[in-house]
Amino acid sequence: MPSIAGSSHIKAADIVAGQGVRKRLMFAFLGISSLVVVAAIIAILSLWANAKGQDRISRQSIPIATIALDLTRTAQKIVGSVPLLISANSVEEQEWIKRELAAEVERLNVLLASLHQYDIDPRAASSIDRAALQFSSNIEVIDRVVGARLAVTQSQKSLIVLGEQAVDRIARVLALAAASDVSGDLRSDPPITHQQFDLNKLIAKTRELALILKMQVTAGAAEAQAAIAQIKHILIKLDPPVTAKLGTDLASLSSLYVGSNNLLQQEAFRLQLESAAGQALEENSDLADRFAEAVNRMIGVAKADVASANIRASSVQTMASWLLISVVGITVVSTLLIIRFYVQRNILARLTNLTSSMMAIANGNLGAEIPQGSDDELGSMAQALRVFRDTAVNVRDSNLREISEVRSRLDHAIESIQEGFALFDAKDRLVLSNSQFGKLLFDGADVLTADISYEDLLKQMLAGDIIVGDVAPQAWLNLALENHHEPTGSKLVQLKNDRWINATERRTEDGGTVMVVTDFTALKRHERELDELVERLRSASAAKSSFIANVSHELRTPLTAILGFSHIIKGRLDKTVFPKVDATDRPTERAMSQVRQNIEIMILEGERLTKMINDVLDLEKIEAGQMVWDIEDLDIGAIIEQAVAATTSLYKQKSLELQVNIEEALPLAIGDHDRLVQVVINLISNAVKFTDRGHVVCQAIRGDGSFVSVSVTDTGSGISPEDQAEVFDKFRQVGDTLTEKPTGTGLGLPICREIVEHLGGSICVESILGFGSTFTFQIPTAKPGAAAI
Amino acid sequence: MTKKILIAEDEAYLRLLILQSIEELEDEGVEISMVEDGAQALKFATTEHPHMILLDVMMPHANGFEVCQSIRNSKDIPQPYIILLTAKGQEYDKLRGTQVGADSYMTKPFNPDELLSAVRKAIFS
Repeated sequence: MPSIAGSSHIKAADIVAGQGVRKRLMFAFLGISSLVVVAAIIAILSLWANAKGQDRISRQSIPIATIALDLTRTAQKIVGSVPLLISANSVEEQEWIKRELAAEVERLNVLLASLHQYDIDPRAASSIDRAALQFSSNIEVIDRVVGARLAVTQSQKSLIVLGEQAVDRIARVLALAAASDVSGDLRSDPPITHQQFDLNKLIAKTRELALILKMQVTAGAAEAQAAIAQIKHILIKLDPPVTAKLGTDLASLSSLYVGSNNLLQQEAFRLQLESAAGQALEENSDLADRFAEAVNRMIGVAKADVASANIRASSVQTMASWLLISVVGITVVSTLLIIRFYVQRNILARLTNLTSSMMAIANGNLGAEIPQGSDDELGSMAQALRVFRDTAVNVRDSNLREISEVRSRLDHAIESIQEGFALFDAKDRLVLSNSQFGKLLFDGADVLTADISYEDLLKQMLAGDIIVGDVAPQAWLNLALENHHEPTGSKLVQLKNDRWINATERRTEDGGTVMVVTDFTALKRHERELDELVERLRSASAAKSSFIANVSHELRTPLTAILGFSHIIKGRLDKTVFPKVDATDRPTERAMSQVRQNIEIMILEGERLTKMINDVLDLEKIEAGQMVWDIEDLDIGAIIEQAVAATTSLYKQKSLELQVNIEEALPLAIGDHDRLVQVVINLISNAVKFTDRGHVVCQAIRGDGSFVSVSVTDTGSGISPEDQAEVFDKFRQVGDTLTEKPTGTGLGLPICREIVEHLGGSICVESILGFGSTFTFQIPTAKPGAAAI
Repeated sequence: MTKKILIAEDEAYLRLLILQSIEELEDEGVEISMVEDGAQALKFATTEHPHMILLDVMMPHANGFEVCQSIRNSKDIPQPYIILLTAKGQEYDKLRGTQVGADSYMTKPFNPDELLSAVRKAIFS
């Protein structure tokens, strides 16, 4: 065990908890936290910058682009509407289109105004403005040209109408002329007249002219002029009335293409105007292109703006991301470094050391090394652990000492008991035993090994051929194991060399078994001796019984002869001999008297001897259990009366009074009728025998519990207290046997006691010397329900 | 006719005592015979047909009980009056005597006067 001296003087109260670990942890966590805060600030700043760029784009660039888009659309609309204006066919149409255009121009101006609110490229703005102005003026020009064109067109139309009317009228005149010429026979086979031919030709030309006039003014101008010339030519050839009639019309026709402001001139002016309009339209288209270009430029500027803003935002974001990643990386790395080199070395490594020390101590290794600590918390812990370890070591040492003392005391105690003692654990391994156990089990040889299992122990006994018995070894083993697992009291086992052991097993609370083995060899030997003795006694008793029976029989034969012949002698003397003797002389008289008295004595003593033999035989039979008992329900009163009748001569002889008191409604007793009569006779005979004056009382009453009590009281000599104790012993006649003549057999009271006790009752005596005695016996009553007869 | 009484008793003195106890009956014409064991008693009973047998129980060659039983079981023998005489005088013997068919029972020692009066009473009844 490692020495712990030098540290054991530290007490728990001396340990002061330091603050170092807390500070170190605080520093570590502050470092990590500040890095995290920096990372968070960078993230927030980058987000803010990004949001600012996005905001600028959404506030300026997007509205400019929208307005520019609207401007372009409006300009295109205006450009699209101008051709409509140019091709307007009426003043109303022109007015309507003009209003539309004015509205669009107005819208263009509004858009321009709103565009100026934003910070836009000035060059683009001024070119747009210029384009817008030119738009407006251009439209004015076109409008004016269109107005003029419409006026010319109107005048051309009215001229053509006039021409047509003239043609119509000419045609009608010609038709009349033709009709009068032919005079109803136009269909007759020609020879057609010249006039007729010209007229028809003229009508055709007129029709042709009418067709031409209906067509474009310029297209058929030459043909029309030719037709008019031909018509004039033909007409001239015709009748003058006709010509006269058609003079104005022809003038009108001529003025169509000749003179000032004729159709052709007007047509030329109209074409001039259209050309101007086309020019203006072209110009307008250019303007629209320029305008679109300016707007596009502006949109391009706005786009470039947005793109540059996006690039800026993106670069800010990228930078922020890299910054964030690097800060996070630095944070992680420095956290790891802090943990690895700071927390690990300063706290975790020491904690691990301390923990392993604790685990070692917890696992029972109280000698485990405890790291030297500094003055911080871990140092305090190490110190506390040291104190704890030292306390545990002290407790362990004192426990070990105590256990060792207890164990030693227990060993001594177990060793000192005479019986073999063994304790098996729950797995049936031998835990504890004294040497006597091994010696008893193995016939003196202590061959037990520690931890031997109970079964192996039994097998060793079998192997050593120690067990004696006619049971097969395996069966014996099974039986012993069964008994071991469920102990049922003690078992007696015979071993070789005529040794006997008594094994008692008992289960302990923890499932183990305590076994106590007692050497029964001596006891067994004594038992055997005792058995032999009992057997001898039994045969002796039987021999005695048979001896007594034989003796009483053998005695009875000579006694019968003696008593019988005495009777006969007495009879012969009294009847035959004495009457014939002349007893006048003194010696003869004395001889006769003596003979008479002697014969009496012989007969009395012979009878006493007979009774003695009978009593001996009775007692022997009762004691040997050979008496035949006739158990029945009995009326005690009747029994007493019978006994009194049998003893009448006795008490009458002594002039004694015999009183009989029998309680009313006495319950029936249970017993043997003749034997109880014998008891009462014995008691009355005794009472009479020892009483000279006074009276004898025989009484029967209910006794204690379910007993009937019968007592015989006399006023005789009484019995001394010492003698009372022996009065029921055999052949123990009380009184002075030397001076008083023995008158009984000495067996009467012992027989009474034997009979009463055999019947389940008891007998006792109470007496005062000189005043009398009372003998009382109790006899059990019959079963309830049996009534007195 | 002459009354025959048989005394069956192995003890000579007791045979004599019994004989003397009832001897005066001879004056009244009773013929008294004696045998010494059970076999003789049975033989006598078979051949002589006594009116009464005073039968001792404990005898050699068939005891009194056996003799009594044999006589009672025999159809040829005119049944005599049988008085068992026994030294035992105990209940078992009394019962046994009744069972084997004895008419009376007298225990030893007996009073000769009582025996005489019992015999007289039985033989002349």
